Amino acid sequence: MIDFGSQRDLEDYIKATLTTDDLLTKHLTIDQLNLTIYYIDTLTDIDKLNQQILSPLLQEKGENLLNTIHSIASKQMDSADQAVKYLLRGSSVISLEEQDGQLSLWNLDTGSAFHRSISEPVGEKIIEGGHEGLVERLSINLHLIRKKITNKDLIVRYYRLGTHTDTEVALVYIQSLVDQDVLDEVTERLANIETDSVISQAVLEEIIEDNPLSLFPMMLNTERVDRVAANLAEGRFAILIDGLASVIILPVTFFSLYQSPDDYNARWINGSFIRLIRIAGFLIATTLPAFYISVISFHFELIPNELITSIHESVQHIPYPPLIEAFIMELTIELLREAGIRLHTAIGQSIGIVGGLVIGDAVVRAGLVSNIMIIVVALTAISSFVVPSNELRLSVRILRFPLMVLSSIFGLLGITFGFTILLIYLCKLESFGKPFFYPVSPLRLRKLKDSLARSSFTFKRYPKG
Amino acid sequence: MGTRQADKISRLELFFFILQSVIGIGILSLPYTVFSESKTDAWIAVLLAGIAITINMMINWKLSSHFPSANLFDFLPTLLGKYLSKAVSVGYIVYFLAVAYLVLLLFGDIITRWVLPRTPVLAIYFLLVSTSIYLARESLSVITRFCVIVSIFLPVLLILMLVPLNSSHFIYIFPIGQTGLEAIFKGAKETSFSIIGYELLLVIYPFVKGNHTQIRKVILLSSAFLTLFYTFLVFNCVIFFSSEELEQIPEPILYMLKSFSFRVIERIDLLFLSIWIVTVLTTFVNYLFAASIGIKQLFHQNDHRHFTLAAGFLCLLCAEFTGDRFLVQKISDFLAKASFLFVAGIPLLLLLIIYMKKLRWHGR
Repeated sequence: MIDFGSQRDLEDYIKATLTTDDLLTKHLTIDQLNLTIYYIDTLTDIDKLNQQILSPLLQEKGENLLNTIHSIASKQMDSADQAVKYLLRGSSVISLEEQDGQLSLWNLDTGSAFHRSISEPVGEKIIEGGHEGLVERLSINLHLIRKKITNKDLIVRYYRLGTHTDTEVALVYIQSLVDQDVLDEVTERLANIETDSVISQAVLEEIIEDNPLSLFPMMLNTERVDRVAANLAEGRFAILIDGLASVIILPVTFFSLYQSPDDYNARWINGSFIRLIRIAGFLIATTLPAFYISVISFHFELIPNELITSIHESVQHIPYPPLIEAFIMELTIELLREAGIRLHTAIGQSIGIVGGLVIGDAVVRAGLVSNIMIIVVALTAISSFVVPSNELRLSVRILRFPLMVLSSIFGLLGITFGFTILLIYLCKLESFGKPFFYPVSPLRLRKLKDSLARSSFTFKRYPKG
Repeated sequence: MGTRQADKISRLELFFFILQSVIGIGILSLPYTVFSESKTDAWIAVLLAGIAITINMMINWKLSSHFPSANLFDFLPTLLGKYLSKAVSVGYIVYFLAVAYLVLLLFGDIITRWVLPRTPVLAIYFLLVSTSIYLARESLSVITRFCVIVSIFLPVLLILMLVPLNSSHFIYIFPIGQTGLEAIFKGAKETSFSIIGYELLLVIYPFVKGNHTQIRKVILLSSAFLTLFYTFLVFNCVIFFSSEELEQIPEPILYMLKSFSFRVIERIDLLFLSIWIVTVLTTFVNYLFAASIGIKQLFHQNDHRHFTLAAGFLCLLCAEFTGDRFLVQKISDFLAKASFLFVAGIPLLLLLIIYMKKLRWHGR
């Protein structure tokens, strides 16, 4: 037993540290033993407190009282500061003064557990398979993951981050599958985090990632349990933050951002086809408007003869150079997209109709934009929607603008150079010491069939463990 | 020079590094150059040149394999002494820069004539130089990774070259050997002057994983690939054009592709050029990298980034102020001779020095 002074001293100390009004105390005397129960009203489930603490205590006497406390308490504490900490996490603290004047402090978990029900994440819908999504409570999320992976090697490490928020963060990985160097790197970076508050995952990501200025997301955010489990099974790490429904997965590669659980629910040929379509979508979303601009302004001779007349007809009365024309339409699409997300679903749909049909049609009739440009921009927008990762989708949207500018200055040459710079950039990027563009660069032919395509499970050789 | 494990490159990467260093600006004009010497036997000349190139590569390999953890700039002092080695180092750096500069000039020339006739050539130079600096300031492993990725374009180039075969006349190569041995050897000489780039092996050799025999295998493979690749190009041109035509067109491959059109893309030569740009870029980058590594070691620095920047802009400035077509031709001819010295001459000499030193050591 550690000496805290008298019961009064302790109470004064705790009340001086926590001056908030929702700190409540209850004084009890059972069998000549003085008990004080502290709890923060707004964090505590009163029913739990009554059923699990008060009623058993009030039934017991003498010797048994200590035993009862032993059995219901989760932890004995050795300092008043620790007691304050646990109070703030929703526990109740019991201080017990024994006959000899010794004080002991006990912590009982009576936290209220409000959370929304488990539902499918809105942003990451899939057609079939598991529909579980994560929620905002760390313990429930860990439960969901552990239920998916019942492996003795599944390790959970807790961290408390943020000097103001003191947020609980969990690092989850499968010991036998992860790369030891990456593990050391991740744990070191997590342990050395100094920040005020961890309210969003972006705070954490920017602190621990290699290139905070990177154009591409170096980590994957997901709210899907099956996606987390699949990534853990591939030897990646998951970082869960209490209060957030999305999990950070690292280290990711470019191609893992293009994977979706749907690929693995489908037959492998279909899954591969869908994945290749997505990667084609990346190429279209980044280069199609640029290609169109370069063809219209530089290389008209690239188009087959039969097409030239119809394209020429639609382009000849447009007053603006192709770049401006493209910018007008791209900007419109971006605005529509943003407006659609911010608004309520029902209004969002009507925005889509007004924007897509009415503006598109009117703009062509008014002669501001050619109808070929509308096709190009629409195709580009659709292609950029197929990216399964929300953050990569944003990068892809931004990427095409510099390419458009380059192609309007240098034509095809500009696109080639723009794309070359992009490739160099992708070759350079590393995430936790792992090349971002793996397995294309550095090239591993054997891994390609599992990243560009999805090969059959029967071909797969499982790693040890 | 630090050879950390992380900087090491695999043998696959070495293979593509050599390929991407060699294949570049030359492929457009090579058939014309060889043809003007060896006429319809040009393809035999290229095959012969392939043997010469293989021998040169072997000399470079043999020389490097004596110094498994040192590159050219490291081992020069042990062979030539302090002052002479400095001079030779500077010679190599200037040579690398000169090749890069020539690549830049020829690139600007071809792009101006074929793709963007009204764009100021300085802008085209700037595009190539700035992109190259961006890559060349990285570590060797990033550069080789890039070389590997862009090598997927080589098959595309080859496939594009298959298109004209349909309307070629194999009869053009007959009678084989009509030009005589002398003309063929002359053509072979011209070819081996213009197929350079493998001498960069001297600079990157210590970074390659694997033992000497494994690396030799990769080098032999790459020389075989290069020989066949160039022979195919030249052969293709010879059977497509009649002798009179081929004597007048400096870029036969582009003219050849220009005469075809798919239903989707009307001008294949533009497609070809867009891909070819990347192979030119890798040549330029690799030379720039080698030069800046040389400068770095000459001044005993740790980082080559600043030197890459300086070297790149030096090439840009030189190209801008000497962009005269006749001058380009002169520089090109001169460099062809100089390349013989730096690719084959000096390495052979160094190799002899090593053997002499060994002999003397054994004599004692």
